[in-house]
This record gives sequence, structure tokens and C-alpha cells, in this order.
Amino acid sequence: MTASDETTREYQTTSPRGLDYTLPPMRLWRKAKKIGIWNPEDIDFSQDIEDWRKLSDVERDSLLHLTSLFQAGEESVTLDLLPLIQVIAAEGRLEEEMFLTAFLWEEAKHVELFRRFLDEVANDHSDLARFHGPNYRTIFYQELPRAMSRLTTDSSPAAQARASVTYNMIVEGVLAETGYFSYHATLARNGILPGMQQAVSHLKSDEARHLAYGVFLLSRLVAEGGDDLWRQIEERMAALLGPAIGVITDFFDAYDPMPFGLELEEFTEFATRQFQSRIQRIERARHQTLEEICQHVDAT
Amino acid sequence: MSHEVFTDTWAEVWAEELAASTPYREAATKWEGSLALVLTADTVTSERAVFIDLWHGQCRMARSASREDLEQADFLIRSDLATWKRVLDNDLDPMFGLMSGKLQLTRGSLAKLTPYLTASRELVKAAARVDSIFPDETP
Repeated sequence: MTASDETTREYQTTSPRGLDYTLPPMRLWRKAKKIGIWNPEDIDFSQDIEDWRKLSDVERDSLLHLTSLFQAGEESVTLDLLPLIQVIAAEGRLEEEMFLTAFLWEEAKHVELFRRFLDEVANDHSDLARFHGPNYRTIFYQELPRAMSRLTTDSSPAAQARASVTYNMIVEGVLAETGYFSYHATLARNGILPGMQQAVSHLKSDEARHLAYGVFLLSRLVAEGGDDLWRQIEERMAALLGPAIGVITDFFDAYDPMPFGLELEEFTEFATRQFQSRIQRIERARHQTLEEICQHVDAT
Repeated sequence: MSHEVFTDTWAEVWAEELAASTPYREAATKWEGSLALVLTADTVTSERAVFIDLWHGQCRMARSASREDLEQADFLIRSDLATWKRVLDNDLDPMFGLMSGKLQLTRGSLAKLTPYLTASRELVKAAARVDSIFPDETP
């Protein structure tokens, strides 16, 4: 540490400011410590292994397909989150950074969970990138890594908003949350893979907290950046909704008939409902103060 | 020449724009079905709507919507004047409009529209090329 650092750095937690437990990220942090501590190694896949053996070839293929989308998606969000954490830390937002450490830890657990399923249940060690179509590649091979890595050279509010829209609203909101909702419902309806059902329940709970943070972050940026920033968010969402919806329709186009009674309608209705509620909350931030946002963001 | 939105003449010009649009024809080769766009009433205007019947890249019919048209349209999208202005100014992406609830899909499902995302965007682009005048802009 240089002499200059010694004179400019101040520590929040040894100042009268302390920690603000009323901030939404702090409420999320407390929840993460209570309910986000599940261990992927504790999931019992013994019945899943039996169930997998009884599935038809097309049923196994569709589950492998879905798992490959989830697996690479979770790896991508794990690899790509760090630049956002660094930006938030550099801005001195300690409470947000504290939650983001749990956020990243949880994403890493999701990676481990799906790889365990592939190794122990599906026993598949092939290259599953064959399931990654053009729309999936647009989102996970290009747009997400680019938007997140840009933060290493551009930490402006606009760049943060672009990153959060891509990561939270599109990847986690439209794709992961919708995928896990429908995946869990399908497994439960068919009474199969109880270990994976339990794991996906944990994933849904984790993702809900991540999305709540994304709504908070974007609302804060909009409250501070006004209409100009909102317009950029809208444009970014419009640009990514096509490939995001395409990921879902590509999956459905791959099977005829679709195994397990999966229905596109179920995916799109859930995705639309969730997207609408979040986007309306973020848009309202154009006319809200930070204090009002802290009161209204739901710490799920 | 300007045409008041969602009138018969406006619909005819929209149909001409669609017929001239290669990107639309290419994107809509599998589209089968009709669409009604409804401008909801407010203090400035009464409710009005336009009906368009689309079939494999061709526009078979475009007119100001009758009550029967509204009852039989496969897809019905409703919104207010400010939102339609944004759509027809190419300022609001139709898929974002539908997902965000700014455009309300009151008949038909998003699942049935999603395979035609590119065609939907070309439909809107063609409509945006019509020299439009809105009810609150008429002399």
C-alpha cells in the first residue's frame, strides 16, 4: 500500500456508517446465508439413475439436450460475473459486493450440480455442444461474455446496465428461470428424477435472489441515469429477446412429438409473466428515488 | 400523402408495402392467420382497429376492422395511442412490446407468434413506412 492509498482509503465498517441492513442486497445476502447453503454433493441421485435407465432414447436425448443448455449456461454465468463484482467493489458498494460473493458461489454450485448429473446419472462424456444452436451461441458464446468483459474497460452506468440486462434479465430471467420452472414441473408431473427435482428447487430459489438483485441494480441505475439509461435498457432487451426466445423454440423444434408432454405455451406464458412484472418495476424507477426503490424491490 | 391510422386507406397502403417487401415475404412463408390491431379509446379518440389477413407471405386482405373481423382474427393486439405511435415510428420493438405488456395480446398466444418473430418485425417495418397521421394530429 502506498502512502497515497493510506490517506485516501476509508473503511465503511469501522466508520459510523457501518453496514446498511435495509438495502435490498443486504436482505438478499441474509437470505442467501440461510437458504442458499445447500450442497450439490448431498443430492441423492440413486433413484434418478434407476429412472434414467427406464427412459426411451428420445426422452434421454431431450433431457441431455436441456442439461447441456443448463450446464453451459451455468458455466458461462460463473465465468462471466467477476467483472461486475469488480465494478461494484470499485464503487465502494460493500453491501452489494457481499451479496455478489454469494451469487457467484451459488452459480459455481450450479455448475457442479449439472456436471454431477451428467457424470453419475446420464453417464455421458460426449461433446454436448452439439445441442447448442445458433440462438444459444448468440447469447452464451457472444453477447453474454462480451457484455460482461466490457466492464473491465468500461464501468459506465450504461455498460453496467447492458451487462445486467444480458445477464439478469435475459439469461437468468427469460432463460434460466423459465427453463428451471418448466423442467421442475415436467419432472414432477412425470414422477421421475427425484434428486434432480430437489436440486432444481434449490436452483429456482437461488435464481430468484439473483434476479431480485438484477432488478435492484437496474432500478438503481435507472433512478440515477433517468430516461436515457432506460432507453438503452429497452433497446438492449429488444435486441436480445429474439435470440432468447429462439433458444426456447429451437429446443421445441428438435422434437416431434415432444417427450414428457412439454409445451411451448407453458414456457412462453411463464417467461412473459415474469418479464412483465420485472420490466414494469424497472421502468417505474424513472420516477423514483433510491429510497423508494429500496422499499419496493422484493427481496425474494 | 398522409393516411389516418387504421382506416381503410391506411390499411391498403400497408398491404402495398407488404407486397413490396421481400424480407417480409421471405420471413412469412409459413405464416397462416389473421391479425387485428386495436387502438383503444381515450379522451382524444374512439376505439378503432385494423384487420389484416396473412397467408404464406401474401396479404390477402387489409381493411379497417369490422366487429366480425375482431371476432375472427387469430391474433388480437391492443394498445393505446402513445404506444402505437412508438411502434409505427419504429421506436418500440414489437416483441419487447408484447413481452413487456405495452402491447397486449388479448387473443392468440405468444407461443404461436414466436416462430414468426422476424415476420412480425417486418410487418411493423412495413407499417412504419406508411405515411401515417394519428387521431390527435388531424386538423
